[in-house]
Amino acid sequence: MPSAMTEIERRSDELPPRGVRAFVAVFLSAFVACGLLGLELWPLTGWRLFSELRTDHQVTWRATVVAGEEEAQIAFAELPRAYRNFPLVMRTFAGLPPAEQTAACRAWLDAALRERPQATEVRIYRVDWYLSHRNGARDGPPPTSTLLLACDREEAPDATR
Amino acid sequence: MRRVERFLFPAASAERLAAVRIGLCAVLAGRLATGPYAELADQPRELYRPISFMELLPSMPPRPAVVALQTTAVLAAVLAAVGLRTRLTLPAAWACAIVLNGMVTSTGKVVHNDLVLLLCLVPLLVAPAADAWSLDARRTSRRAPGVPSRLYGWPLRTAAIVVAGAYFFAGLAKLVHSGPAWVTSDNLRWALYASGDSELAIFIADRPWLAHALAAGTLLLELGFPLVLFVPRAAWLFVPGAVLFHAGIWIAMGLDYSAQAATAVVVFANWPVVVGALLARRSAPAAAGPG
Repeated sequence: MPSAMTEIERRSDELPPRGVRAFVAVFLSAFVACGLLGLELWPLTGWRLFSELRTDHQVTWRATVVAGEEEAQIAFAELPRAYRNFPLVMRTFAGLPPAEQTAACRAWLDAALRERPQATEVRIYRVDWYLSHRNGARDGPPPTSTLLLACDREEAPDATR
Repeated sequence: MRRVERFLFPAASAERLAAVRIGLCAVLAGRLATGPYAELADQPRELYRPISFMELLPSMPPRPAVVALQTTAVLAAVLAAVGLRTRLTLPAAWACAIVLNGMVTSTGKVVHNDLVLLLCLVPLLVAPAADAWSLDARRTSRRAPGVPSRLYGWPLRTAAIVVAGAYFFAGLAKLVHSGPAWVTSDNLRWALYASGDSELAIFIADRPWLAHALAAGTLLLELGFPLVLFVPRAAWLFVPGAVLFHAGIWIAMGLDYSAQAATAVVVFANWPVVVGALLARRSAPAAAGPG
């Protein structure tokens, strides 16, 4: 018995070609696998957005520039975009070889020299602080700064101060 | 198997796919035109943190190359939006965008802001996205079939799965890595306090009940988003919810997920119906006018 479907209707109901179906299967499988397993195969990703639990205790870093007797904090937000990834680089800074730590530190010194041509040194500190300070509860101890690294243009890094 | 096939390869009109091409390419052109790529090109090698294919490069690409890439990308995205040489311009825009966004994400952290947009464009790279509402269709006098076809439906469904999946997996990651404490602890309050000095962030963080409610709402939105794939009317709840969610994050935390919000709107809105309603509204007064 002939189908009641018209030719156009029949063609519109056809599945896409095999190659397209394989493409969809591979693409969606990879997308779902990365999402489920938390894999980072950028541009496929595990979508870990704010997934780690935050606590009152925060670890941040700050860098200062030394010029003569003065020591001033580097405002990375005001530097060119290429230098603004200071907090991101610092996340893995401790795991870098000393030579790479110094090289990064000197890159920030170069940036600081644009604003303060008389700068001679950059110092990088780890800062432990408590967010509860922000709502006036003052639950945690006061912020503490620990010097991680200092670098200048010529000398070797000095992390012993 | 047939159920899966029907789900992955539904029928849709050429116009609906064309609308998604126009919308996503317009958003892409806007993002590419305003991105910080040329500034990143000046980054010292010591601060470069490549991931994925960017590991093939020893540093950020040189500025002239980046400017050329950005110019090409914007031009190609605009041409793809109007549907000129779409088979060439859309893949060119996407490929350039991947490299440029690869630069942004090679600064020490995976950057997700434009990922949903880029991934939703993937099915359009090989789909007949310019069979309607395009200069290509005018140029070749090619006529799309007047009835919905599976050839036009699968890229839309694939893009919808990407949008829904992105929200769902973001919610899943929160549950896997933090558990219910993501809602029940002071997690969101600390995240807001840590994010800066926005009045909205501090307002919410200072009120634990509000922070808990918003954390619960975030998880509900993210984990519940795939419902739109099975109950299309749920998009009326989840898509505006996602837009509000991203607007709130932008105001409170300064994080710009406008490309993701716009992508969700472009993918889930039924643009031919919207355009038809607008045209009918425009012609109605003329028809009812004097004479």
